[in-house]
Amino acid sequence: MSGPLAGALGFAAVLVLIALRIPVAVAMGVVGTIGYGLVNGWATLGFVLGRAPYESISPAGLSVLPLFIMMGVFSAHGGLSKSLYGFVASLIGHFRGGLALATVGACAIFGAVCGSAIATAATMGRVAMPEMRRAGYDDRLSSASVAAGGTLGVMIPPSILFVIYGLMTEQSIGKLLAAGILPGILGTLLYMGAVSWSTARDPKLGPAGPRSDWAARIRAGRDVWQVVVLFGVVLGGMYVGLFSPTEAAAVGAFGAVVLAWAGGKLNRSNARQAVVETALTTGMIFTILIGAGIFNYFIDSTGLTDALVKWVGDLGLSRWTVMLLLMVMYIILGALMDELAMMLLTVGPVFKLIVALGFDPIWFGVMFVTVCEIGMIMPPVGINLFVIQGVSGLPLQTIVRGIMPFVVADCFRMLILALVPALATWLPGRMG
Amino acid sequence: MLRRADRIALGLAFFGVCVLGLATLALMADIAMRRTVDVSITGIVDVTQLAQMFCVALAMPMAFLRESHVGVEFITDPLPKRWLVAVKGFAHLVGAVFMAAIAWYSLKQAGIQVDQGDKSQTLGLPVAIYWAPLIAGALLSAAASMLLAVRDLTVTRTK
Repeated sequence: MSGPLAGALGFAAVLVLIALRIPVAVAMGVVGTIGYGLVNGWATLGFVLGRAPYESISPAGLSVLPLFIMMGVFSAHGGLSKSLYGFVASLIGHFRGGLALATVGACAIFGAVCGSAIATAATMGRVAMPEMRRAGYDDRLSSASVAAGGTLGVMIPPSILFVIYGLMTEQSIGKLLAAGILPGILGTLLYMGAVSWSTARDPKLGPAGPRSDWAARIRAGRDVWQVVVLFGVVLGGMYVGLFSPTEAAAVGAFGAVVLAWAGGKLNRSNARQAVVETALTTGMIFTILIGAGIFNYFIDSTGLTDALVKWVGDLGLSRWTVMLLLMVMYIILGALMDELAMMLLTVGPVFKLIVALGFDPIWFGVMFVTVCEIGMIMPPVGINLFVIQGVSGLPLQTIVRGIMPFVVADCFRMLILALVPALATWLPGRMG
Repeated sequence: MLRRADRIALGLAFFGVCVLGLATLALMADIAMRRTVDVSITGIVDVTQLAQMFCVALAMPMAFLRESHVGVEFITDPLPKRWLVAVKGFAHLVGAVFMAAIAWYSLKQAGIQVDQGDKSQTLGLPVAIYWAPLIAGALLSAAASMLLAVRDLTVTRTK
């Protein structure tokens, strides 16, 4: 059997094991181990299993991940989400669909301190869903706006997906995080457009609420400065070269803990819960990194990547056709598996392909994260759909029925990013 | 048994996050000192990397025990309950064997590096203390996964 064929069968085997309920991390690790043994001889197993796990979790640059996770978790437990939602709702809640618009806006701002789509959706869902129900919003619109808005957490920096993409492809994490700002804002506006389109078609989905006066708006905005300061210090510090990404993440984590504590929101019970959530997310992500590390040893040894690049080159397709096919493949994969696993499983070979085709690696990172956002809200396994189902208790079908305008908005965003790549590359290009 | 294991896993995860918290404070102090008196804490990268190893590796057993790992469930969800539990048990068993293999081969690799006298870059800390959390985390993750496998497979047999 040829090496590249063994690599392709390895991908298929991972998918089979995942379908058998084996965790993605374990499936990748097991297939990587057995595949490497088959291709290179069983005597080499000790080399892979002895080295890959340590190499996968020990690079100093990875400390960014648990620190950004900690920042997001403590911000959520510190009550920032409620303040944000109250403030944005006081500004635009009186429009038709205003509370859903506020949900999307608050998700975007919360995404600026939290790098996880799941955490953003779960946190904002708990705050926004009851408010929208009280205001008579249709469950389809309210649940879908939180599920989609939550995905902005992985585009607007700090973003866990950008950090992992940067580490895997050896791109500057600072530049990748900066690259997410404008597409994140664009995504927010397009999601708001999706809300407006939905309520214009059927006004009963989101009736207009009462208008807040300026005194109420100023009162509601009192606690929002915390998010602005935290985001400004972390991202601004990195952008102007004051901090390295690790230091910025440490400042963010420290700041989130201090702000939660100073605001009187951090009692013993939720501090404990925050630590547990930080540990669980960290343990889950790094176990996937170990599995992916072993799997990538196997894939590298098969020569699959080079064969793929050559095969695509021989097809004679234009590079944009290849990109379109890749994006369609990712949308399908994203609908079936977790986005982090999808990234770790495929980015190695695909990255070499897109660089060989002359695409900008930073721009592709933004496109990849956008397609991940689609995967997070795409049935049957869009993770944010399940998060909102868990938070709201609504049937999955209700959430799915409201989500399509947001999926279309995401596809539209990808089209704009393809037509205007500068949206992703201009800010990082200005960094030193 | 599972409850006791959860307490141990929780304690380890807490310890790991606290170690990272201390490294965060050291990083903050380093930034402040660099900006004010132009002095950096020697070996801050070594310390951060060590804290990261503790936080990450000691969080893994709890992630296994609480079944927090990413997986696809909708394909097997329609199975009859007895089959579903068996599939879950099989998945935990595979996880246990995989993590045990990682622990064993990491131990062997750590032994080689210790024999070679490898040390951390700046502080010269023995490399064994970087490997220790990974080996412990992998071993305990294997134990956690095995406990869940025994739970599920025992239920299957008694039904």
